[in-house]
Amino acid sequence: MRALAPIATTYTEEQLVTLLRQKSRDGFNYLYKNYSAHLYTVIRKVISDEATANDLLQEVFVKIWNNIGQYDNSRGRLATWMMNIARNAAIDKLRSRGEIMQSKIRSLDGFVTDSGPLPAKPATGEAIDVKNHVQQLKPEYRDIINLSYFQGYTFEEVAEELKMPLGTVKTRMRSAMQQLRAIYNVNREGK
Amino acid sequence: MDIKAYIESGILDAFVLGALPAGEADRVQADIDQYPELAAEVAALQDAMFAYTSEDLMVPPAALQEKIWNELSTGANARQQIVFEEQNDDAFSGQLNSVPTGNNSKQIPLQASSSRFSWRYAATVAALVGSAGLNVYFWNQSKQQKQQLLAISTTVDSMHQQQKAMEFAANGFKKTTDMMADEGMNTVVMHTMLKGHPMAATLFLSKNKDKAYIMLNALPKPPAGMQYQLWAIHNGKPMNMGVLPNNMAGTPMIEPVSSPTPVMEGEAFAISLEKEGGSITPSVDSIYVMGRPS
Repeated sequence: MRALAPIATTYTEEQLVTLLRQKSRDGFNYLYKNYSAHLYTVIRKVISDEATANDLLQEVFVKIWNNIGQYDNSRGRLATWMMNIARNAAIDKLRSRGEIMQSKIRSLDGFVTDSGPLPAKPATGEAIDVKNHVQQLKPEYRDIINLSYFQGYTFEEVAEELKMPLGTVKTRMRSAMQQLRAIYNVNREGK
Repeated sequence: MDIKAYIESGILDAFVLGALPAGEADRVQADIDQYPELAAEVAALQDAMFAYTSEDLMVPPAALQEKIWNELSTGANARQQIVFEEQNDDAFSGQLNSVPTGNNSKQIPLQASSSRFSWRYAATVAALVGSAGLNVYFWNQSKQQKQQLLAISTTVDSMHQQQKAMEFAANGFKKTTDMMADEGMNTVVMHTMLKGHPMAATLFLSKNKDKAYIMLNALPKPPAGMQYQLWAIHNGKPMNMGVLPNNMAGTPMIEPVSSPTPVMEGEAFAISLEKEGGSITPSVDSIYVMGRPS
């Protein structure tokens, strides 16, 4: 295996998109270095099996690589576009393997805490803050976000699962996302 | 559309969480494409989800990076068209594997005992060597073709992007010329008020003063939290003609002006940069462009 070229530069999302469209290896290395852990984490939160998750990460990179020409920055950031590719690929895999039923059986609490093998945290200093962030989110909000985003439930299925009216689910989704925004202080003008 | 009620309904939150059935998600996407306020809300929600999913990061196994790169640079994903050559490759290897072997051996019996040596074996060996040679030949050829296809597809992608941008611009220019040619319309070109910053915008006013259209093709994108606002200077006083969507800036889009006041005339028209949502009166420093009807 040959050594990877060192990456000394910081690219903006726009520059990275250009590099990826040129099928540049630097572009790939930068993409991998900066985004692979995030994409992998999204996948692992949906698919706990490590070997399947590894294959899926590869599929996700292939999708990004082949579809980068279709990425439209007026519709959102590159990072969120890629995050959605990873999430959708993982949910598709979950459904195709008939695992959706199994995942429904998993308890909500189990889902939140049991996210597979020991997570490798990139920076211990940050990890402490991060824990606090997660804990700030009300458990009922966390459940609703995890059920829909990481287990692929439609809001009708969420309503059924949590035995609450559809209207309440929508309101709770709104409140959950508002709390997330407040926790991460996200209040920006869209692109 | 009542944007505020739409946002408050929670449908955008369900959209970002992937909790909408496909048909409904498509309808919401169409609304987002149409209304910049919805797009801004979705962007903020996605940012929050991004932050949430960035917690407790798990690092993929180290070997995956090289494996994925190999897949991207030479792998079967390259393009569908390559399938033909790959089938050839498979066919060759299939032939190699399917050469009849001895009952107890998993290897092809190339070194059979001399007493049983025959021209049939010689012919098999010759065929194998020839086939292996062809394999290498086709493999090299296939590799070259993959690289060429990748290069071509990248060029086509980028040409497609350019074409889309040009179509968009051409449509905009056609609308502009149509609007200027319309005898029922007055064209007011507003020029820069800030020395050293060449900017312009164009207002089209119907002569019976009931409609106005605006184009912000030569204005920069407003910074976050700011928005352009259109004014009619009527009897020396600025009258609010409404705020303008940020996504119009720097594009040839022409949009109808939805003025909160019925003022569609004035001795001059101006655009100022205001805080999001607009101001009651424009401050002098904030006026970017101004023009008088001819």
